[in-house]
Amino acid sequence: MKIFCCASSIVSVSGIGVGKCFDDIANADYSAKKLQYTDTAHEIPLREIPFSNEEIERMLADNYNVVLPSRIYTRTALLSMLTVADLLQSAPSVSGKKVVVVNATTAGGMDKSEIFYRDYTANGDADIALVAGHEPADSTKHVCDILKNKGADVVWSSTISTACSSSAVAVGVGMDMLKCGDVDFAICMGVDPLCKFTINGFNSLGILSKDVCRPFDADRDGLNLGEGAASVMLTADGNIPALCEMLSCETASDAYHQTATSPDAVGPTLAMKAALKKACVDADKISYVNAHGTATPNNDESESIAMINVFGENVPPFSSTKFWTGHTLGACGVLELALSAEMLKKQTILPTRNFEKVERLTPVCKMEKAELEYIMTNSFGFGGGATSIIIKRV
Amino acid sequence: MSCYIKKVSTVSPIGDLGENLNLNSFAANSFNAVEPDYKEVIVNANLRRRMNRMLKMGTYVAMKCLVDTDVDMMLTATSLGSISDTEKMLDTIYTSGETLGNPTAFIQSTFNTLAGNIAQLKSTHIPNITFVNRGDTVANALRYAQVKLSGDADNILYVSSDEKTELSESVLRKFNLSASGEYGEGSTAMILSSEKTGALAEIVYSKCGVDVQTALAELHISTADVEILDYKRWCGEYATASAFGVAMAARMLEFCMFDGKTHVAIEHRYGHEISVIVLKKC
Repeated sequence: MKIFCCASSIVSVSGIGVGKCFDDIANADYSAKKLQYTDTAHEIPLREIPFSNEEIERMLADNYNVVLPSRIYTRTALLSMLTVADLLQSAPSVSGKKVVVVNATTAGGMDKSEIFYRDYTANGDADIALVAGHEPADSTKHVCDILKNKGADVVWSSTISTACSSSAVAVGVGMDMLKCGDVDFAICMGVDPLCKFTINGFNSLGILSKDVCRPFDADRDGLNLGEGAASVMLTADGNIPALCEMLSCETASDAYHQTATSPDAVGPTLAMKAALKKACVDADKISYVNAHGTATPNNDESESIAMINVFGENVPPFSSTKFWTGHTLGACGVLELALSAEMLKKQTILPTRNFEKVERLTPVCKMEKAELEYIMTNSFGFGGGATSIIIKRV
Repeated sequence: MSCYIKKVSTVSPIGDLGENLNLNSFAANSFNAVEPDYKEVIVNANLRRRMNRMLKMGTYVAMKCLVDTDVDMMLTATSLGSISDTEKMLDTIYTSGETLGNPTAFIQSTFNTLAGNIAQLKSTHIPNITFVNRGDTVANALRYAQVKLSGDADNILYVSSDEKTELSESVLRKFNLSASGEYGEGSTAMILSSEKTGALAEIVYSKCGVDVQTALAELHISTADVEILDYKRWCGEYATASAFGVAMAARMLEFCMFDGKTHVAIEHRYGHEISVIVLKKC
């Protein structure tokens, strides 16, 4: 069975839209902006989505006709709803269709839970409504409500959390559910807001850069966190105009360390090889790799080794788009899949910026026109999960 | 779509159902999990000390199921993950005014840490997926297991784990999620297989958003042939409690404890969520 991606949406530091995010990455260097919505003591570059929660609620009502009952919504839920509302604008109608939803997040509704915890520990009590959306499944439920209101028959919905590979894994789950039949569309998505929990967690691991991150540069010193929400719609219906064909999505476990990849990059290598095998595509056919490329010393080193393990001396052109979007954690798998599909469509490779000094491999540093047929996009996460997706031009 | 249960292990208020099914011995005065001696399966003392209860319980049942058994995929499921470490991390953030870090608490609070731990202890590179769907988690993950077993997987390790803390229990109480008012905790692991030989029971149905009557109507099974298992009086209420129910039903079917009934239904109501898993005697 062939599976196609027929619509995509990105909500990122660039605002709403795949095209906007694509154009910004193509044309601009990132310079750090003052934080508007994120409450943290840390002065580090973060990629905020440029809307307040109130603005998102208003946009949902005014621009997408999604009017929400009055209650407390986590930023995670609002961003989930925003990307799906945007997705549905360019997607085939879901009315009367059997739809599977696979959402992914690492933080869930932590942006509100942490306020609850602060108040609870300070006062011995806090507004219980703040933790009503704590669990990752909360945002998925809100997305399903939007789809049901549009007439969709949501036959199965799920939420995945495998750290930074979460939404890439969600794509694999969505593909599996389409293959088992009797499903028209799978909506696969990922979302993560910026919150104190995540910022302080990553800070405690010492892997946040104080400057704009430099993927694959020899002197890189860490990642920048970013907010993101992204979604794609997958279908097995070949008559629907598609952005790309989905060939494979394979996962392997590194089984080495909770937060670091093994020196010989066993997990990433296995995932990339498994994705090639499943896609029945030889390594030399890959025209471009959208790297996980977080800009931590460990990730980029082991990802380079994995690419050499898989491609030998002929590593294809590759880049990391995280210099612009930041590391959007649970969202990055689908966000970068959407960017990769756009690169296929535009036959253009998006660059990595801030790269000066070669360590092992040199990424594409300038926007390039290219003959792109097959793209591989990688996501690796805490817990050792490595996922690799291969897509094909249509 | 064949999904057979080959083996089970639980950490629960009545111990490990995989080892002992003596239901008469249980006198519940709390629904706290009876924790085993973890040394037997988590040998590294430092690792044991660092791990919270959600991780220890989940790792224990997984390792018990994996003795002499190979699998090609791991599915883990949890509602709150390592909630005790989540609380520790938040505590560090607020008491230090964001000046101190707590890397262990942060790492362990990640929902898929259990899967990562098991992979490391077993040195296995098989894929793992962590499902986080509140009360629907178990039925959701088992449905996906059915799909994978009818596709490219032959044997799957399923593990769910949830711990309770003073704060999490008080919050769940405020949401009134338990019909009985009793909040439990625990871990369940199962080896699921596409192959019937030596199976305890078969999972024939796993669906969210339906009650038991709807499930039986969809399956065309007469209620006379079905035991609706009241498993929560043994494990208490928690989001992943239905996995305990499935393990218990599988073992009871193995020992023909249902008076000739061919099927057992596990209904799970958790707040507004409802799901049903139906097992068939092998």
